[in-house]
Amino acid sequence: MARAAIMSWDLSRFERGSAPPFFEMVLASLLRTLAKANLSPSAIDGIITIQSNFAGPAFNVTIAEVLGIHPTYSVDITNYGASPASALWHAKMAIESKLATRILIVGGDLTYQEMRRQSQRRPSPISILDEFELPYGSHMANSDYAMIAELHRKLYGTTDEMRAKVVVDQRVSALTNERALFRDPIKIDDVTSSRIVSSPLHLLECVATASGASSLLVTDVANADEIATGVPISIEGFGYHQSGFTLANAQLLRNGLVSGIALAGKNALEMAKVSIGEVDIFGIYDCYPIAVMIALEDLGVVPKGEVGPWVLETNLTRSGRYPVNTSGGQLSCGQIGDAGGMVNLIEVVERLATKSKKASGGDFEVGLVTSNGGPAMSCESVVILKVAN
Amino acid sequence: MVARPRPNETHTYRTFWSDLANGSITVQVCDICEVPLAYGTLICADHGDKSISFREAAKSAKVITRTRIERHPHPILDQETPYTIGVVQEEHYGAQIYCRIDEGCGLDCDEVELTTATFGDDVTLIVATSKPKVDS
Ligand SMILES: [Zn+2]
Repeated sequence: MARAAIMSWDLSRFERGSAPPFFEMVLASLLRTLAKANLSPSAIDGIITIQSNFAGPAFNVTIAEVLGIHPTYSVDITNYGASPASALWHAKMAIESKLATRILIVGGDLTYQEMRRQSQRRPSPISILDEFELPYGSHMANSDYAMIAELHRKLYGTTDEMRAKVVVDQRVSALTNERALFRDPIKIDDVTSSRIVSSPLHLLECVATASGASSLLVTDVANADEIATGVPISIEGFGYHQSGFTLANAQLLRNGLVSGIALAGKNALEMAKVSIGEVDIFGIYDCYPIAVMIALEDLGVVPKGEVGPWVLETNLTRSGRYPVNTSGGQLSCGQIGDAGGMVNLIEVVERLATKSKKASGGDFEVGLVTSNGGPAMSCESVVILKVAN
Repeated sequence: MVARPRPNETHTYRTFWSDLANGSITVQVCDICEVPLAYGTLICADHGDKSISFREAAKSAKVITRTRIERHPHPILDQETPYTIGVVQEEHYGAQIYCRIDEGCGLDCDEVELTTATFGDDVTLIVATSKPKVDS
């Protein structure tokens, strides 16, 4: 029986300013992922893309043409930012049901400024949000997550300083990551004294958009000796939950801020037969620190409402018991559209595959990755990864 | 020239927006289970699409959460800053409504009254205020 595993991966340089032509940038990432595995494009028979604003619909079909291949499995994952973790599970299903043997997962996007420079076409609108939120002056994800942070303050007393601590710890991790866009050390005070974007969120709590590309190779673990660039990583559990697309329809506004991560995480952990206490390393989608905090609560790392005081006294870097986003996360590296979560995902893959050491000794063996989609924790994916044995 | 963002006024919501322009705020409710549906949801998942009607919202609402926007990348909206948006819970049906919250409410008043106001480009929106609206 086939068993899917991640064999190789790549993140391109991320750019805040001008970027290479989009498809050349994506192709370069794919070729690096293939080169690390000693494969040529013709060895690939499966393509999974993460929805891209710039590439538009059927990004998967375009990429197969760009690579000059003729896949037997091909799909574009369109769960907004929840797509990266979802894409991994689609790859697993396709490999294990023998629809394909070697699959490339591809994600990439451009900043809005760069999209306008590279093409005259305007990004397509999102109709429900266009109709019922934008006329009110919504700042999209910024204002939705701001209102989520405001409600966390109101219900649980979570302060600006508590949220800032997440940003500061992730920045400590970014200091040793040469791919990070933001690598100056910062203190809690730097975050809380940065300007308010949408109250209570400060500028340093808001992810910066970037242009960039990312890719992963997933194959049958039986091919590991042939192609793995480190230790193959198996995909052990998955969960997905859409709990409301628009903020006005979000269940979390009436259930004490329990997001879709609670159900998705529970299902993923059960499927993997892993308890939350057995997770060694976390890749938590971090468009804003409040997103990380709610995820840690909903996964059961800390009880609902208690994450604020908990983060103040917990070291979230690689030297702590709960390493979260140890490359600095999207908050330090930038967000490449709906493929932003590839930063969180690839960091966990890299730590597992390169046998990085835990603070307590021993290797990282079990990782948990979340991806958030939509403007208001609308759709959530959780995937459990393990060193394959 | 950049225009102020306005509702699509899709076929489904044309009446909703014209009612709003006339000062009447309506919410979608399933006639069978009496559960409010968010704008954009076209069907009661338990009872189908034939059972939905638009009903006059209560005047009173409670603020669930809010945010004050200090700057906006859209040039017209940026001229309106600072302004506050939020989600309120309408008292009668319990509908959660995305709206503007009048700056006069401050950032901590929870009891509000639902009214309408007309913004640039003749766009009428739901606005929560802290005091009763006086008709002129
Ligand atoms: Zn019903």
